[in-house]
Amino acid sequence: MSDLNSQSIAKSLPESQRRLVERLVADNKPVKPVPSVLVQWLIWFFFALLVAGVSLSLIGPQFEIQERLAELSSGGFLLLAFVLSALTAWMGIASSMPDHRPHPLPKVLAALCVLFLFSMPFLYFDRDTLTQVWANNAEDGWFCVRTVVMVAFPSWVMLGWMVSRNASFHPGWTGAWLGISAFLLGTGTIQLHCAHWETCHMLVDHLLPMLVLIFLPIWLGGYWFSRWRK
Amino acid sequence: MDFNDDQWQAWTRLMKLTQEGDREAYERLLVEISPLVFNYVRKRVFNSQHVDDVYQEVLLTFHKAKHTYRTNQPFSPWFFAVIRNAIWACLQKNHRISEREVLMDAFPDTAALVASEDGLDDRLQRALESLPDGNRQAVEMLKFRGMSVDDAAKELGISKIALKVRAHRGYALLRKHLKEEQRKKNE
Repeated sequence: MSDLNSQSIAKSLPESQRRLVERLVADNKPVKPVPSVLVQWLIWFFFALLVAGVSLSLIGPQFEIQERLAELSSGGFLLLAFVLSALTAWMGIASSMPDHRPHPLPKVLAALCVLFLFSMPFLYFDRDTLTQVWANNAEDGWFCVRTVVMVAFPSWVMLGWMVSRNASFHPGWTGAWLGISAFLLGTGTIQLHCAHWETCHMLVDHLLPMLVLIFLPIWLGGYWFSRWRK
Repeated sequence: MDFNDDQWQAWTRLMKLTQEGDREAYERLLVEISPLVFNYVRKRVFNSQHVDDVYQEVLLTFHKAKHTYRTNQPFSPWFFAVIRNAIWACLQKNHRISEREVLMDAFPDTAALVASEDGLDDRLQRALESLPDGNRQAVEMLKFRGMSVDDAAKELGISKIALKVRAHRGYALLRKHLKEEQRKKNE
């Protein structure tokens, strides 16, 4: 379209549209384009490695970690937790882009995978009782729960800080994806340390923090990531 | 209007210049995409009274989201996805507003008292002038001329909901404008 054509369009615009264009043009400042979803995900990936690595070096891996990794059930649980964490981080970052087209399939798949992760302690591991879990927690001051939250928190904040520059049309979902990703990173990290591979302990101390606290990243995310439109 | 590959490539170049802060390029881009955006909105918003408001909201969204466009990617998929999402979000917002807003025939007179404070009259006047026509009319009728929602809607020939949406957006823009002016004054 030539300059001449552009000028003729400008003249034909209604007054209100022309004023809006003038206002927006007056507000235009140089902007730095945001990195792609892949680059942002890679930044998160290395940060998550760092957080999990530092946490694990502080608390130490469990004594039988190699045997556990070689087993299908425990190795599968760990793999699923970390892979789901990575995938949900991707979903969170992708959903924060304004050109993202939401589709129900990833949500259904992620929900099924999380459901399977929660069902794994019932299917593959030794049974214990809630009384035992409560007694252990009283003794060690809910160490596993605290560790899950402490690993999840920096990961969520880092992801949130990164995607808050994007322009999410689905801030609640973005917050939820990032929250799930952060808590699963915590679950995977604590499971590398904790030698209790028993049903109730895994559910209450490693997985429950996500269910109990997931409303926080959704609520905070809904506020934080929608600020660009206000 | 027919848009070919050359046109999209030209807009990609303009978008790149816009991100670098070139106002002339941005003006040209906005002027050229305006009819396209307006027609796109008109085809998707069935209530003709809302078309202008949604169009404004969509262009504002485009303005706020332009930093998320990467110039090594084609412009048209990003552009249409953003426009589509913006329309959807705007319709949802309008729906929420019209569902929750309570009709009021009389408004408190606090605006008149506050406006007499030092310098606020001028600032308010400037802020009002910066509003798009539709929003300014709605605010003036409801807040300054003291008209009821019914009367104002009848005079403008629009529905009460459309009037409330315009006024609501006008208040938000006024608030933003006054805040910015206050910030500049403090600096």
